[in-house]
Amino acid sequence: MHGSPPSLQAGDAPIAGDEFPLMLGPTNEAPNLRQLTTRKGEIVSPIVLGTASLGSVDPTGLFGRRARAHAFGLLDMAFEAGCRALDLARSYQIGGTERVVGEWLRATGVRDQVFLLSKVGHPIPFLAPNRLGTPSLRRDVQATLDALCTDRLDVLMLHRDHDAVVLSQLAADLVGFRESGRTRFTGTSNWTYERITKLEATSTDPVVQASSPQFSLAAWRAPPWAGATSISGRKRRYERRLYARAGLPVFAYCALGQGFLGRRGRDAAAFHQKLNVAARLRAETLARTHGASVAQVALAYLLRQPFPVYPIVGVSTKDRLLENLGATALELTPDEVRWLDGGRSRENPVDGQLPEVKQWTEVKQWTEAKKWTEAKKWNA
Amino acid sequence: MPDRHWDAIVVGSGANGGLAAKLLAEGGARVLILEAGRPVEEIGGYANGWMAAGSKLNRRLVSRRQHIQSHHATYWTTNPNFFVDDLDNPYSTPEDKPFHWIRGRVVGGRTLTWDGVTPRMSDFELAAASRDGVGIDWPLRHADLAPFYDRVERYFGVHGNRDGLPQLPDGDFVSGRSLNANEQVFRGRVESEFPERRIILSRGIDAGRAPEKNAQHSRLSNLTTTLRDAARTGRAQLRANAVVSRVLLHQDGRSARGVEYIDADTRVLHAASADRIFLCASTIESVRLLLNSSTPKHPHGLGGCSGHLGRYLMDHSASNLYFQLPDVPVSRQPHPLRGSEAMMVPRFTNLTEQNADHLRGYGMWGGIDRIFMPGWVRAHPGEAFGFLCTRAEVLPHYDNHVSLDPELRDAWGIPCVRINCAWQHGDLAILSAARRAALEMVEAAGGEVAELSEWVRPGVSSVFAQVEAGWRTSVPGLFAHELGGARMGASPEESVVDRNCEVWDVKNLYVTDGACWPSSGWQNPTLTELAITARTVDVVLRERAAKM
Repeated sequence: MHGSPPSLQAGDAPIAGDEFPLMLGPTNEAPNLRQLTTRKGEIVSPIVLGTASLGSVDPTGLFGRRARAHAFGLLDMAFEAGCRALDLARSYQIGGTERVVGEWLRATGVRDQVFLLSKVGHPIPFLAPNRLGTPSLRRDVQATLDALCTDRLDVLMLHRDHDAVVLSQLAADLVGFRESGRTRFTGTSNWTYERITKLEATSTDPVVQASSPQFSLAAWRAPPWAGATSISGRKRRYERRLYARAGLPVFAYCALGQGFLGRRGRDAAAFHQKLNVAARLRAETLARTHGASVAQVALAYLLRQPFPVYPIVGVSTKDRLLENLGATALELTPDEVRWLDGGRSRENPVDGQLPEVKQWTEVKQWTEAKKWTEAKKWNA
Repeated sequence: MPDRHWDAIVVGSGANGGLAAKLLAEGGARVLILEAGRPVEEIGGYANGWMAAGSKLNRRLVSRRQHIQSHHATYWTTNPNFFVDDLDNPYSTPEDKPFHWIRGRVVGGRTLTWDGVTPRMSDFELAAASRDGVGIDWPLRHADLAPFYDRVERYFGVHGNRDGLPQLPDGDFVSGRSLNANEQVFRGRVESEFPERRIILSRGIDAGRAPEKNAQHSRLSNLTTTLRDAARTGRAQLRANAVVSRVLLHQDGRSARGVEYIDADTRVLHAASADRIFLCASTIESVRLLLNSSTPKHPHGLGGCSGHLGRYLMDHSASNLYFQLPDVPVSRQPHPLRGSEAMMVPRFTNLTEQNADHLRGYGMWGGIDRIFMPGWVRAHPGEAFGFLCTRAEVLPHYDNHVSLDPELRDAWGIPCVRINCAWQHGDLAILSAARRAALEMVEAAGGEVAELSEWVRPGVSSVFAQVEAGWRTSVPGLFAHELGGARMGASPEESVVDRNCEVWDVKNLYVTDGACWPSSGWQNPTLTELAITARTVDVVLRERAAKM
């Protein structure tokens, strides 16, 4: 922990792989997920809109009018702002989310200008704990495509992992969906890197072209539900290194720690712990020097990882959305990213100075419930 | 005062002096060992950290007689009396070029405080100059030293695995040890990203600094090995408190006939004569003796007419890096840290071709869960905790030299040295590269590099901040691997001693300790010094046998 952010010294060369170019420009190379491109090849913003709260569970549409209006408004606004990648799932609102997004796509006719990620195979509590078999997956994929009124997804992901699943069959199914044209890319959500490696090993074709774990500058105190996986925090440093080594793209959910790194502050109780407070303080320091918001620094931290990261953020207002999109313009050096991570910045060992050690006291103050003026300021 | 005539005099009773005495005595020669320090029995043996606390506090706060020695890591953990008194034995340095000269003036020398890490040197180091043109090649190759390496390794019982690496020749090892579980995790992670950076079991002697149960001294110290064996032959005599002041020459000035020494207690001057003189007084002390022995015929010191005496002083530049592996739990049982039980990363740059931004190479030594850190000191007590110590080859610079200080005298009136040694541009480049490489390896393993003071609990961090600041970039001398000053070479124009360590200008005078090194390599030097000493003694004994 350091008192001040690092400054890049002249002559410090960034090491290979330290910088991930956000915008490579349009290319005619084989399609990949080094950036998000629509079916037509247009590059869209790397900030992905989270949709879990859009739409309603009511299939008749009688009770969901307000939800529908809100969803249309938000989607229109996001599209206008350039945020054209959507993170969907078959299970969101029991299909209601995909239904309303499908209606919006049909109404606006912009399917070819947006990037759609959807996740299938979510278990049904008690009734079907493992829905990763071929029939369930096929049903889900067909239902998703029908609801979205499209013939092809951009990324299809397995929503969850299950111990009992036959990996070779699963790999064959995913590759099959891709080869039959129902999706451009395949991947997994909430799979650990170890399991991804095992799944990948059962097939000669690439199976996991992207992964979607929780990833943010703050780590959750405990998984919010069984089977939730994260690559955030100190304990997941090696897993992140493996992602970087493989260059595996990540769609990061809870990218702002449920608002811990945004406006909610300590109200995001699942993320309120000492090391996260320290991380937030570092982000605040950096935000001040860059004239940016904490959320922007937290998102830029993700965008500047040595592997492609697409933060998924759910928003409800235009201001928040524009603020988040502003993160793509925020340049962080590899040193600053390392410093945010709590590690040492790239140092010059020969004449390096010891940084001031003072943040412990700040953390202490911050954690004490009585001294919550800071938090109130954010919540205001 | 007349004394009997000896076959050989060995100056110094440290690692090299002990071995020279043992081999000479076993070869049938009558040997006199002169040691400037006191016997260990007089100063108390190994003291553990807490027992010595009072004496340390006294030394640090009240007497302050060891302001240089107290920088050394083992000063606190062995016994301050194993180190020299800095006030009685001063030396000078330029203001801007500090040099921490760590000395063990005691019977047994620095074998009482070393780690027992004993890697061999390879031809990559011994013949480096002919590849990059810096300095001169060694007149010896690994093949010349191999039989003596073998002999010394067998004698001390060096442990290790036969890894088959060209840059770190295998020896005659006792095997059977392995890295601990967490080190194996670290190795797997690092080697999967950097295949050329091998993490192997350290090579060294299976003993710690602390004596084992019912033993008076550690097996690392030559009190229990070479000096004991020398004494057992009945042909060796050890005189402690004998401060050698100069080497005496025959009338013609072409060969040595003895030494002059002062009794440290009575301050009476003595002389001892012998057929052959072995200087094993430690690198800088041996050079000092050569400088102090100047005569009208040798105005610049013995071996000084080449112009290279005292030049090319080196030490390894070192840097410590502490780290933790957040996702790896700390070992349940403690693991020892010793020469035979640690990790070693042999040199991996500039081997087949010059492929780095520095010359020569560096290695690392380290361990995980091998340093005892009480849980209450650590911010993350449940996580594996390790360190990597990089040690880089320092180039031989003509400017880095030892000379006689015109004014300074020690407690016995003997002129002291002025040490002029600093890391120069190329040395800083390799030091920096080595630390960067260690950082990369820790990051590849998912580890967190942090200064100790940053992650230990706030209350104790300032103590660590002080220690680690000194070890981020080691001050010259602090690593106690000082080498050079009377380098060996193929011709008298470019060197001070020949390949048999005999001074070119003075017959029968041998310098077999670190002073005779023309380049430093990255490996811990003691084993190679011992092999060179063994080789010299072998040559001498053969000559002697031929004459008889």
